Amino acid sequence: MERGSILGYDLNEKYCQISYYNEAKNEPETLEVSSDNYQIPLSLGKMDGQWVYGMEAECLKAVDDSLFVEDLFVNAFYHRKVSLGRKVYDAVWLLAKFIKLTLERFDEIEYLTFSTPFTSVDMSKMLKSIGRHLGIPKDKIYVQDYKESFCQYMFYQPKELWQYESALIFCDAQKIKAFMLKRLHVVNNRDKEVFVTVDEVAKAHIKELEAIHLLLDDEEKARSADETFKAFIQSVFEKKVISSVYLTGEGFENNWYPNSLKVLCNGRRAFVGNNLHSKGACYTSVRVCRDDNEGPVYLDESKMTQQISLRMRVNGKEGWYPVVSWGTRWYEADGEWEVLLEDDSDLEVHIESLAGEELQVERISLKGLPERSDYSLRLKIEIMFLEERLCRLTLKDIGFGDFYPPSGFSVTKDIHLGGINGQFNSMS
Amino acid sequence: MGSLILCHNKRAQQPYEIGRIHLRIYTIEELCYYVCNNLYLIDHTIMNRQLCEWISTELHLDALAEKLREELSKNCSEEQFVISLLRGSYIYAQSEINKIQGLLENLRNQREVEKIKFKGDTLLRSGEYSAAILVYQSIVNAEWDDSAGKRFYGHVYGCMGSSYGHLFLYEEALAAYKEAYYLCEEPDMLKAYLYCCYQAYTRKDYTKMLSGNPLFLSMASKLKEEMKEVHEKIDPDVPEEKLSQWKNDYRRLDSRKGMKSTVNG
Repeated sequence: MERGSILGYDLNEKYCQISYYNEAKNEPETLEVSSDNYQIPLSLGKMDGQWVYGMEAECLKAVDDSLFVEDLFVNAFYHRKVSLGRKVYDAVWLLAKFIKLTLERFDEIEYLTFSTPFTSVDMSKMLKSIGRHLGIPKDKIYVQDYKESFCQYMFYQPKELWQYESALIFCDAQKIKAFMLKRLHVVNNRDKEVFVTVDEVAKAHIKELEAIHLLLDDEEKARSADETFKAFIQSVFEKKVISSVYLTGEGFENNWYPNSLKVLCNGRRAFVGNNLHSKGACYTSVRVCRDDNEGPVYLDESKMTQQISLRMRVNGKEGWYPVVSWGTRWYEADGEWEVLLEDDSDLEVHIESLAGEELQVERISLKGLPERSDYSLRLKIEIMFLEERLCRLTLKDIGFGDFYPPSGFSVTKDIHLGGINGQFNSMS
Repeated sequence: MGSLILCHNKRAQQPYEIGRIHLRIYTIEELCYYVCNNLYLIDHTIMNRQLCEWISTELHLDALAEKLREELSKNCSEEQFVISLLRGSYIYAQSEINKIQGLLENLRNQREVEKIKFKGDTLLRSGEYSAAILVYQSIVNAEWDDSAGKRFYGHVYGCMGSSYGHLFLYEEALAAYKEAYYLCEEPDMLKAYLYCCYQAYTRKDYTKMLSGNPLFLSMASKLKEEMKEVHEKIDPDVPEEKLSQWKNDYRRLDSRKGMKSTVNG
C-alpha cells in the first residue's frame, strides 16, 4: 500500500497518472508504474472474470481485442455504451472501474484532485459521482483542467520561477501549444491578493513532428521541425519577460530540438517532464487539506470574479467571511454552514466584484425569528447556485440541541450576480 | 446589522450528559451556553476529566481539552475553568467573557442564600417560572440568614411574585408581593401587589381593599394611569399566528426537559 492519502490524478484520453503527497519529504511524488514510467495507459480488459488495466490490458489486446477497451475518457464523458467481451457496459462504469483499480494501492484517500485537459459542469459531475461510487465524499474531490494544474504546480515552485510570466509548452505528435501564466490586473483588490490566469497564447501544427514521434531516422525532418519550433518560441516569447519554461507531452521525448533549446534556456530556466499535471493536482489537494488560502487565486473564464461575504466571527476574529469566494466555479460553490446569531437585526450580504469598485449590498430580514437568550439562536446557512448568475441563500432555524427545538423559521434570498461573461476579459 | 458566529463543525456522536438534569450536550456552543446560563451549578459534574476527554474525542478540540486538563491538574477555581473554556472555544465576545468573569467573582463572594437566589433569578430570566418559584420557596422556607437582611428576603418574595405573575397565578403572586412590600417597603412592590389584587379580586373587593388606606389609593390611581397608557399602546387584536406562537412557547416551557429536575438537582 502507498502511504500518501492526498492525491492528484491526471486523466486524459490516453493515460492516467497519479501523484501522492509524501509527508516526510513535504512534496508530491509520482507513482512509478515501471522504471522511469509514470503513465498508466487508459485501458481496461477482462479475461476469465478477472479485470486488468493499463499495461496488462494492453497485453490482452494482442491476445484478443474483444476483451479490451480503450477511449474510456471520451466515451464516459458522452455517456456512451461500450462492448467488452459479450457484455455491454456504460463507459462511465468502466471508467469508474479503471479508476478504482488504479487507486487500490491507496488504502485511505483524504483528498483527490482530478486534472483533465478540459473541465465543465458535466466533467465535474461525472468525476465526483465516480469518486462517490468509490467511497470518497464529493467535498473531498476537486476537478480542474490542465491550465489550473500548471498554475497550482507553479505556486509551489520557488518564487523566482514565476516572478514574471511562466510558459508551458505542450507537444504531441502533431501540434505544439504554448500557455502563459500571468498576473491579472483587478480593479477591486483591497486585500492585495494576487490573481493569476493561464492563457493559451499560440498553437502550431508541425507536420515533421509525426516522423520524429514515430522514431523515423530522418535527420532532415528533425532539423526542419527544430527550426519551426525555434521560430514558434521566438514569436511567443517576443517582448515578454519569462522566468521559466516547462516542456511537457510525448512530443518532447526525443531530443530533436537542440537549437530551440538554446532559445528556451536563454536567460531563464527550462524543465522537461510529463508529471506536471498530476503534481499540480496533488498540490491543489494539499492546499485544500491545509486550508491554505494565502497563495495566489487562479481565475479563468469559468470562475467567479465575484465574492459573496457575510459578517461573521470565525475563531474569535471578526470580519467579512466569504461564503462564495472568487476563483470558485459556480457549479461547485454550493455549501452550508451553522452559525449563531448575535443579534436579530437584518443581515447584510456583501457582493464584491474584481471587475468593479462598487459594492453590492443585499439585506435579509430576520423578522419572525423566535426570541431566545443570547448565543442560543442557531441557524443553518445554505448556498445553492440555481444557475451561473443566480445564487439562492437560505437561512433556517435549526434549534439548539436539547435547549430549544427548531422554530420552523426559514428565509430565502435570491442573489442575482453580474455573471462572469466579459468581466474576466476586462482584467487580462 | 446582524452579526454571526461560525459554529464549530463537529457535533458529538455521543452527547455529554449533565446527570442531574438529564440534559444532553452535543456541541461546544451548547456546552458554553449551558455553563454561562448555569454559573451557580458549576461543580465537579462539569469540571472533570471526563468532560476534557469528551471535548477531545467527540469534538476534536484537542488544544482546548489540553488547556482544561492543565487547569484541573493545577486545582483551578470554577472561575478559571469557565473562563478557559470560553476563551478556548472562540464563541463568546471578549466583552461577554469579561461580564461572565465579573458574575463569577460576585458569585464567589456571595452568601449561600444569595447564590441560591442567583439560581432562581437565572431560571426566571430564561422563562422557567415554575422552577424559579421552587427555588425562591426553598430560600424563604429555610432558616433565614439574618446577615443577608430583611431587604434581601423582600426581593426573594418580589421575584417569587413576578414568577407567579408570569404564570397568571395572581392570588399566589399577590401574597408574595404583600410579603415583599412588608419586608422592604419599596413602592414598586406595592404597585405590583396592587396590580395582582386588581387582577385577582372582583372590582367590589378591590375597591373595598383600597378604601381607607391613603397610600394604597394614591398608588392605585397611579397604577390606573399606567394601565391606561399601556392599553392605548397595545393592539388588543392578537393575530392568529402570534397566538399560535404563544401556545407553542407555553407548551415548550411546560414540557421542557430539566425544568423540574433543575430544582431537584
